[in-house]
Amino acid sequence: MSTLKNFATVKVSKSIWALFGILIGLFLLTSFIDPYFFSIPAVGVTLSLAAPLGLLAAGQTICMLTGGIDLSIAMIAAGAAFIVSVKSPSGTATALLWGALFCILVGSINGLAVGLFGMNPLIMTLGMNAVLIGVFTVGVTTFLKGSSSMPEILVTASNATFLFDPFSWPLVIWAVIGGMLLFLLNKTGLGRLIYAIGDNAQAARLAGVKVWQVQWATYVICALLGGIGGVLIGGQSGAVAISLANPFLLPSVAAVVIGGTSIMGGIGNYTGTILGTLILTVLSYLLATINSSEAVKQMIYGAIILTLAWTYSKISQNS
Amino acid sequence: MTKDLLLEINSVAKSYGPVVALKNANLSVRPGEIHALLGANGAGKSTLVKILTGVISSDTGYISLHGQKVQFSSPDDARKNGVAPVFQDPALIPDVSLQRNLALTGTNEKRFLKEIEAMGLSVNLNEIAANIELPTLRMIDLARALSHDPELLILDEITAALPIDLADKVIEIMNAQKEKGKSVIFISHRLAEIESICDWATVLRDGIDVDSFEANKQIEDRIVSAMLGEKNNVANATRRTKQSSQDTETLLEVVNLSGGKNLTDVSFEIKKGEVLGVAALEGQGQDFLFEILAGQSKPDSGEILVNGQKITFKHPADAIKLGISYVPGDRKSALMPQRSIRENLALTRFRGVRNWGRIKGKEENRTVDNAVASLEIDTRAKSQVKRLSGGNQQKVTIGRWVTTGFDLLLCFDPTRGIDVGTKQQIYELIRKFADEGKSVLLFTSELREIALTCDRAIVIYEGKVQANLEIEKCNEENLMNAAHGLVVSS
Repeated sequence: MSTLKNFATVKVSKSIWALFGILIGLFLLTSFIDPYFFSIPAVGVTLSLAAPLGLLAAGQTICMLTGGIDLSIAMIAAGAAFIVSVKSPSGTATALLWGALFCILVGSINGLAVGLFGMNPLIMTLGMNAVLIGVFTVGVTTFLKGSSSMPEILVTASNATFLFDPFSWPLVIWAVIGGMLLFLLNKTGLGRLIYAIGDNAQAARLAGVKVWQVQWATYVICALLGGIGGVLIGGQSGAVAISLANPFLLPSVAAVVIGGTSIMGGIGNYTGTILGTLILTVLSYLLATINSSEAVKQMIYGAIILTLAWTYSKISQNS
Repeated sequence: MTKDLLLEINSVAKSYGPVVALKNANLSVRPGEIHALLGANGAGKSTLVKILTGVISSDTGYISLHGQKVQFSSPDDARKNGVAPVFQDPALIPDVSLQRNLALTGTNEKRFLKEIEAMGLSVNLNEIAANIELPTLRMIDLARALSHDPELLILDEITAALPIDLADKVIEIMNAQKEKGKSVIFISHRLAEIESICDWATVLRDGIDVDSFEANKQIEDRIVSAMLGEKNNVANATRRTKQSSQDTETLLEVVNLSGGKNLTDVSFEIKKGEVLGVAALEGQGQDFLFEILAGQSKPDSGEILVNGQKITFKHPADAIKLGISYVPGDRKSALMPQRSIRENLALTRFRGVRNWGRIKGKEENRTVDNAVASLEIDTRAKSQVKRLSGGNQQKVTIGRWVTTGFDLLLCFDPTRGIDVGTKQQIYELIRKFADEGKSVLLFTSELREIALTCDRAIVIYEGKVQANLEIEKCNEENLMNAAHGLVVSS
């Protein structure tokens, strides 16, 4: 009876191939419009720019697998980067620790509010987003006064080439953390429970699972992933501001949805999100090469995301 | 089509996917007749009422009113054509005032208030429906139906939620309708009511009208035997291998338990290695009893003792820790539909933070494969349990506890909507558990299952234990009588 050994479904791999095809297609299209894009250094830059989005989308993936969402992730990312830069005079390690503590605190509030007090994740994290904007706006001039530049070593880690092109430090960080997340989702008990509560929290509870603990852990991990992404964003832009990660919020959700994770929870995987992230990154490069106004670019961006999401849902239904 | 009939339902059938709710139902109601519609739970009564009143449409067959074929598009449409239903559950929108509720169905306020007054009640039209007591709500539903002056009034178990004085009032109203030459379809589990007021009775079983006869005195036996059908037991019923469980220790004791809407005062005990059957009509509090024992709901009062120790549950995890596992009546609430058989079977392995780490793949394979083999689960659609048949889904919910291990399995109607072959497998499984020294508390809406699988049975009526029967006494007549509140000597 080894019939159950491979539980990866045909359906998932089929749609992953479809996404891969879309990515290659977009890549070739962009290279056709801008031949420079078809070069190893350009691929290297694209991948290193995709890393922060890939990390934020990683956090979003696990939240959405539980049937939740984290709309405060961009402010968590900005906040973590902000705290790291302010605390940098007392050493990079200490600064990173403060950043991590901030993420754990915010993630805990989100997770416990959702898990123990039954707050709707959308409302809870939207509210948290507003609170964080307020706290940091006040903080800039009072208790968080200080350096607004990232420690040198983190700036290097966010930009420098690793060994040779197209590999870079952000890509390595993304690969390591992404690998850990894939392990978490596919090979650990917590991963199973993330899927379980997203599919049917009532069933998980009846099986003796304390659903709130899983939600707590999920939102804390999500916040930590957001924090790491935020530090990379801060390092890539050099200086830190409150609005640092705002442009990443909606793409972090879009990457997950394009990657095939159900917003209702219970189904999906990080592999899809990685492809979704790469598709969105190539897409923004493509739009940057088109010579037209910002408004037109936004419309094209939105239209393409909607088309992708629609096509994807068709593909998964048919298989 | 006969002219002198008010209503004729001809060969109506309805299926929901693979589940057949009505196979072939016929019903004729004459003007000025009170017609009882009877049948066990799941026989198709409510489906028939829904088709008749335009809530759902039938797959085949037709309905005619005054000799004219009709098909109502909505309850509103039915009401306008003189067919007014009072459904089993209150049909008022809880969060808005009575006045607005009346306006929604186009009910004339004056006529409504006149009907309410005639019932000897008074209501405030500005009251929010949610604040009104259940019995009063039922009467409001009835008054609303009456104010449309229906040719045919349909009452679906209205008396079940009513105290005796209001139930008498309903019977008066039915008789008044009859005197006016109007008809009533009356659905009730209370046989005494039916004998005293109904003119004709039709019995449904498994979606077919199996019997229809004049309701004069002493029809009780005929009703019960029509409801139960032939005493055809499932081929070669499971043999009880156990001699007696009288000498063994008590595993679980329940003392004066009450809670929820219906459970008022229940006491019983289960011994080790015993299968205790629970029989009850719908809505006697049995569902809440199971939820309490599973740690899913909290009782209002009473005690639960496991191995002589008094215990309280805060979470299902507490019950599982003590070896009490729950197979709920609704399979959907126990399964993760989009996940694989493996993940569903292995779910309980990860409860508790210390099991959040790396999955022990080999150990998991072994337990999952064991469960699949011993329960004969069909693994062709293994990647998503929502694609399994109902029987296989039920095997997965039971198999989960086989992989986990338990002392007491709470099974709530485990064979509902399952094919005969799988039913037999589940009976055998339950007997196997008992042979291994484990206990099972089995509620079933199919009374014959009690004689097939249980060692003893209790019957719950109106939230209390009405009878405590040894296996020799667990025939369907006794169980049915006790379930209707009649005294059965034990």
